[in-house]
Amino acid sequence: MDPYTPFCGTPPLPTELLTRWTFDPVLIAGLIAAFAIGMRYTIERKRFTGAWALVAFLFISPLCAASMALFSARVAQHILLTLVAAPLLAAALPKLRLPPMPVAVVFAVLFWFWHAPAPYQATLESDLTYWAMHLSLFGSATLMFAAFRATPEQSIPAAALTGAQLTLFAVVLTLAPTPWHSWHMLTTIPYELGPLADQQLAGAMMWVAGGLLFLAVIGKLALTFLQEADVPPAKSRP
Amino acid sequence: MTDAPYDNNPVPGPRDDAYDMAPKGEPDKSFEEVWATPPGVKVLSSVSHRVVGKRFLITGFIFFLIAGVLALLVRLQLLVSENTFLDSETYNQVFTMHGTIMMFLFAIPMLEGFAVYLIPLMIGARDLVFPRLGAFGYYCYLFGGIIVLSSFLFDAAPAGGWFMYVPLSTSQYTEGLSADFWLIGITLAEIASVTAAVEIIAAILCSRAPGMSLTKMPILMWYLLVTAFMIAIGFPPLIIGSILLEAERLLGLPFFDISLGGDPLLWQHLFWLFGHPEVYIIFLPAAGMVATMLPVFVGKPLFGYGFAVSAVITMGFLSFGLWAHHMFATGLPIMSLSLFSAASTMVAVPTGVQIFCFIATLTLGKPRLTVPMLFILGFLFIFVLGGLTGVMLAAVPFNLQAHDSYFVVAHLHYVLIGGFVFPMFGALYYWVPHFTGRMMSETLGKWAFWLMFLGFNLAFFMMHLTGLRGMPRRIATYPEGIGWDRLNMLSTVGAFILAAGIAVFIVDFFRHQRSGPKTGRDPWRAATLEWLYEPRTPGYNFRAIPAIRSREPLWDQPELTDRPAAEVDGALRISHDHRRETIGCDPVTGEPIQILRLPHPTWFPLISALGLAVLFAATLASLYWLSAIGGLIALIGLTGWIWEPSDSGVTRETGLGEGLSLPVNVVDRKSHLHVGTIGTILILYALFASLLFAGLFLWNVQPEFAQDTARPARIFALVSAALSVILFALSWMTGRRALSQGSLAAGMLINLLTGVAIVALGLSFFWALLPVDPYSTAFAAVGWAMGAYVAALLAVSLYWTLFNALRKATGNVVLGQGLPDLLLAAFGKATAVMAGITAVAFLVAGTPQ
Repeated sequence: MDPYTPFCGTPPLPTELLTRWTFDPVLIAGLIAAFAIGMRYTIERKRFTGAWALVAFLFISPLCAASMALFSARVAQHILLTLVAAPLLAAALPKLRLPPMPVAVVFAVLFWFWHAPAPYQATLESDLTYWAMHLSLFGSATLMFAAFRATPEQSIPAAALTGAQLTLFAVVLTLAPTPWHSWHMLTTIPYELGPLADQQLAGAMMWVAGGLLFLAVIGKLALTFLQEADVPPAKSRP
Repeated sequence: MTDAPYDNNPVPGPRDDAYDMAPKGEPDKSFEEVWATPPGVKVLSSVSHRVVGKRFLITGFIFFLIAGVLALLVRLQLLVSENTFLDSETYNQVFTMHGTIMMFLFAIPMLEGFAVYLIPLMIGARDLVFPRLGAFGYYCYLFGGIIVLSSFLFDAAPAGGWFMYVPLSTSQYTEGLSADFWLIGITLAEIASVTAAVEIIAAILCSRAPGMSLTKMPILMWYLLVTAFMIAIGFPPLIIGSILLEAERLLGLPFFDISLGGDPLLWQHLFWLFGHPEVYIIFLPAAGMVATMLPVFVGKPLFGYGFAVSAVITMGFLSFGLWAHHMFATGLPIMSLSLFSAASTMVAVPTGVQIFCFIATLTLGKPRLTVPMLFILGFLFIFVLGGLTGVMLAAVPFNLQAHDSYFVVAHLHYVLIGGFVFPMFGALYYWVPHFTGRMMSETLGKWAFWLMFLGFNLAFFMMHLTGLRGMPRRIATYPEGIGWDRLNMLSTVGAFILAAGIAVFIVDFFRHQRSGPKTGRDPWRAATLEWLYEPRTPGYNFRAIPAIRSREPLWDQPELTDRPAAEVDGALRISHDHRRETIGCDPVTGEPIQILRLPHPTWFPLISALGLAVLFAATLASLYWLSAIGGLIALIGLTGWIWEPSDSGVTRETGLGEGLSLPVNVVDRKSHLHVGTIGTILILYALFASLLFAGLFLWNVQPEFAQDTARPARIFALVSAALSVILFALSWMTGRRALSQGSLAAGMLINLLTGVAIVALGLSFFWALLPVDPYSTAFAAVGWAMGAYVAALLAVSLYWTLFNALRKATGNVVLGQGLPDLLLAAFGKATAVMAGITAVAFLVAGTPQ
């Protein structure tokens, strides 16, 4: 039986990294289909194109291969997917009235689940699991930001929960005394980075870069809410 | 106006029969008398926000003076090298108490005082929505402060620094009661902070004048709202940390004991998880007061309201992610340091947005250089410098160099005195005329400002240099001739000049009460509603509550200022039932949705707080029978407090529009009581999350001890999980019935079933935990702490559900008075969620034995 090759290929060496683009025909077909469908339904073509281009970049570019070697690269990919592409896509969709708290809880559960050792390992053993991870994370994050956008004033507890759980996970990861993911035990060595240092980098990026991106989204939502609410109503009094 | 703007109103038409059940009005009194402050000693029963607010301000200011004197003692000791004025133990007590009092008993209560006093006046309400809670919080603060201060009498003042690091503060290294005085007293005082948070959230969201949408609120309300949410989430980690540390000192549970899998760094994480937001909690209200005063003296609205508000909201979130930068020297992973460093410098972005809004406002017109304005300019100067040294300290290499030196002392005083004390004095000069009806002296005020400004900079600028020359903080004395002598002497001189400035303020304060000129209407030409009446404003704040169309009502709404204030049109001019009332609004739009009944003077807050103080003080003295008596008194006080007829179920005319009638204390999720309950639940979740964090942290950094810990009994953990689901379902049904006005008998049945479920759940948790020895490892102790926390929630739920059942059984409730059950439902659901999470944690933690 052939050993399974993960979706993004075997862990690359630093020298070959920049040549490792993932031109998977199914991926490309899926992206084209998503673009066609999205452009039909989006209300904001620019934002949708931006989100789509970022998603395409995250999976086609060498970042995908790098994430096979470095857990920190994988985390960077997930941060960009859930905290940049997802809110951008949410802003390109028609307003969805979803209850913010349940969606935020779903996102939290998925986020913790997929980064725990066993499920994480599973994503490296099957394409199906790999895509289940990314689609569920991306989908739940998009729905969550769509819910925040639709009713920002009612989303504050859910946003607080999301900020808190992302930070908590990042803290645990940063301060963990041993590496979690056996997959990365040897893959980080060519990058002159121990697996623990790689994991600490991943945690700190999640904590800080993730935190700041989340804040930027919150700040933007707050500003939009204030500016929209500030427009005087049509039935203004004398 | 054909119908109430409030459309899914579940309460059908008037039910005046219900009102007969609520004979709480005082029909023999006029409107003015209903709102009057009770005379003589009965003033202690007053619940008015203006009485309570002034009490907070005065008490806070007295603590400020006490802590200030302690600071002067520190400076006297450091005046010359090898000084013997204070011995090192006394010196440790003095600097610890200085920091503790300034942070917990001055800064936070002072901002609470301003919030409690100003919120109703600025949003057009006659009182806060939970006046008794405000009075209760004040007494908790007062008694807690007295406990902390009394430690001096027993020569047991805390001496471990204001952040009480373990292991220094464990019983092994701090014998006696000094750390207990700190932990118990401060925890009691913190009750005031969290109750104030609930109060502020509910008041700002639920009692604004008709038409005051969120975006038409005075800017200070945004600052206070964000601050209140930050208190609700930021104080719980410290409360949990304090309780864990006290449990370790009192019961010997090994939370921080490294030999049993505890970790001293857990304390630092919990402390700074509170401590970092705390800085913003202190700074934001002060910045909000600046943002209120600045436009007045420039004569133009604040530049960039939307940007300032979103910057404040962003800061609220940001402040919770950055506590680790107080811990650079604790051995955090090297990989993370540069990222924290970068993130810390980025705090400057949202702060900068606000400061630029202030500066841009200044450029809009020619500012009047009044005394409050001088203090604002002083704030800008000092705070910006403190911010810059903050950016310096964010750089890890510099941080490690300056760590624990006087450079840090200089930085934190530039931030806190610049960011809080200067704006606060500006605010006092600005609002004292509102308190007393007389103006303070411009001349003396300028003297006060310049003495404070020059004295401050002399004292604290030098400390940067002393610190860079290597002087560590918290040393009682230093040798001669290593370059610290002259700088220290200058700092001491500066500190006394600063104190002289404050003395001038105090002298002027007493002077102006007798001979200051009377304040006319709107003496500063301000735009916000608190200046609508000529100070001192009558006890009811607003004879009729005006409709608001502008963010600057006194500038933009001529109908408010072209006639005597008492004749301004508005809601609730007619009081039907001789009750204290105000208008309740939709949290977002500000449209009126209910008439909100407010309590009259009552002794129950004082009794409850007194009982609680006895409980805390007796625990400190190890007199546990007395603790039980204190707890009982508190419970009796609380029961008397809430055993009152419901006001819901009737509809009254408001005097708004064309005969708009609104329900009294509407049974709805937008009710102030429901919003307040949600605020409380937020605090409870934050407490629970702090415990979860403690468990996760220990499991993460000490995995071998977590492995050694016995796992709770699986079968009972499963039963607990199942019972949590049942409790959730019952609570959901409680809420449904309350909103849909199902029969009272059904409601009582659900209440009783809920009680049964709660008792079963409590027992099940107890049996689940039995195999776990809390003294075996820190991880096991955290498991018991979680169990104890859930048990406390269950006890409250049980009391509440039986209370509601009893009320129905004794005929104290009529159909349509569903608020208590609606609130219980929210609380029960939250309890069920936390119990469920705990049960799941018990299923996976530890190792089966």
